[in-house]
Amino acid sequence: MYKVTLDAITQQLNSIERDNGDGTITYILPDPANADYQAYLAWLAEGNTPNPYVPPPEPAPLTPQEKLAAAGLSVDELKTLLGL
Amino acid sequence: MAATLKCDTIQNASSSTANLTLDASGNATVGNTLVMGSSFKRNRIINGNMYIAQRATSATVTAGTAVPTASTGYPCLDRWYVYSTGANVTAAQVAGSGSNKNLLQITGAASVTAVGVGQRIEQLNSYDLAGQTATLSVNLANSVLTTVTWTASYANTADTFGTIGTPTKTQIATGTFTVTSTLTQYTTNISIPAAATTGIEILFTVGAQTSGTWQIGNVQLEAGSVATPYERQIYSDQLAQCQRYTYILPAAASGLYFQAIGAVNSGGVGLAGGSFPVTMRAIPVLTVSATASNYQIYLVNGGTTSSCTAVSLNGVTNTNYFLLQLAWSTTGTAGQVLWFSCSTAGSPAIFSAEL
Repeated sequence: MYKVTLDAITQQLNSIERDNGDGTITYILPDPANADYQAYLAWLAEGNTPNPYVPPPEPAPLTPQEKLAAAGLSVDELKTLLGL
Repeated sequence: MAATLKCDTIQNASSSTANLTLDASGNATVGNTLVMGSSFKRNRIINGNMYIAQRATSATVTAGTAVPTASTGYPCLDRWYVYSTGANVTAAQVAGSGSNKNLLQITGAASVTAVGVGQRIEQLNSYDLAGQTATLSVNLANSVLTTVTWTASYANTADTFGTIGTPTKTQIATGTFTVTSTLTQYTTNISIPAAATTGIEILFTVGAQTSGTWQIGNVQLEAGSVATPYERQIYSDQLAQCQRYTYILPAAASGLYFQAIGAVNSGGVGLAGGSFPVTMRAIPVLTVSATASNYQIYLVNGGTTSSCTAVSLNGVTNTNYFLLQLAWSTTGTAGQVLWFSCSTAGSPAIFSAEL
């Protein structure tokens, strides 16, 4: 039911993910004033454990053409730059 | 003819105390409540006239009593939670009549054993009512049932009422209204105890609504023993009041709908954020579609649009600012600007800080 997520930068515990079973997911931060977090704490107190973090799939690496495009260069410009 | 009436008090013939006391300094003290043809900031109920429906204008209420929480049990109209037992019901914003533009309508179904509609007033908006008489007024109609029960409660600890099934609240008072199929205003006085400084809940319930409809509108809770006319507000003010509890990044019916701006962290991971229009009551939770590809990122330099593979809430989110954590399937350059958008109707990103 619950799964932990990690911070993209620090890789530390970020938020709690809850699958609502209706096609939606809720992300919960540790605020004691939030009833969803209170429900999570109650669930933990019952001896439950959240599922571990599953990282998203790695993106496909850029092709050389995409790298050029990302740099704002054309092949001809690159050739000129390299004196080819 | 100009004339001056000189006296110290003005008192109704049947009253034991003065209605109005005038002193030598020019002050006038009202003995009880000043009842105006219109009023301002008296109503402790938010969205009592059922105008604001950020989530949806109609939704199915799944039967159960594990609601409400910050993100569950609020099907359509802002601030109003709805629950049913026995079977699902439908909650919808419908057209009213006369000066009542909108009503909340519950449509019953076979096997339903009970339905409840309630609002939780946070401590900051109800603290001063403790130890006073308050007046509850509401417009009600029911095409099948003749009894609507009202119950007022206060939270055992500040703003923490629990769920219907596991309540953490103390009942203040309860009573019934005998209703008909004609929309009619009903009122009652409630003596709020001195201990009720932790937030107040108003809950309307009916029994076996196995068919027909139940309509609710113009709900008002105010200090004093007189039900004043419903306090109307400018729409934008009322929307802002609701956004303290729920804020939605809407989805587009077609095309991309810009929602937030951010930057690539590394590879296919980035962050996008923005400010909430009003300070939220608590750090909100975020509800998004489980289908992450309903959301997209657009890498500005390079013009690449990619479907997300994950959308979550970053831990730096607070009551004033949100930060989304995004992953997608193509590689970006660290620091590259991105836009976060949604192209699928019905997949809004919902921030909830309800009670």
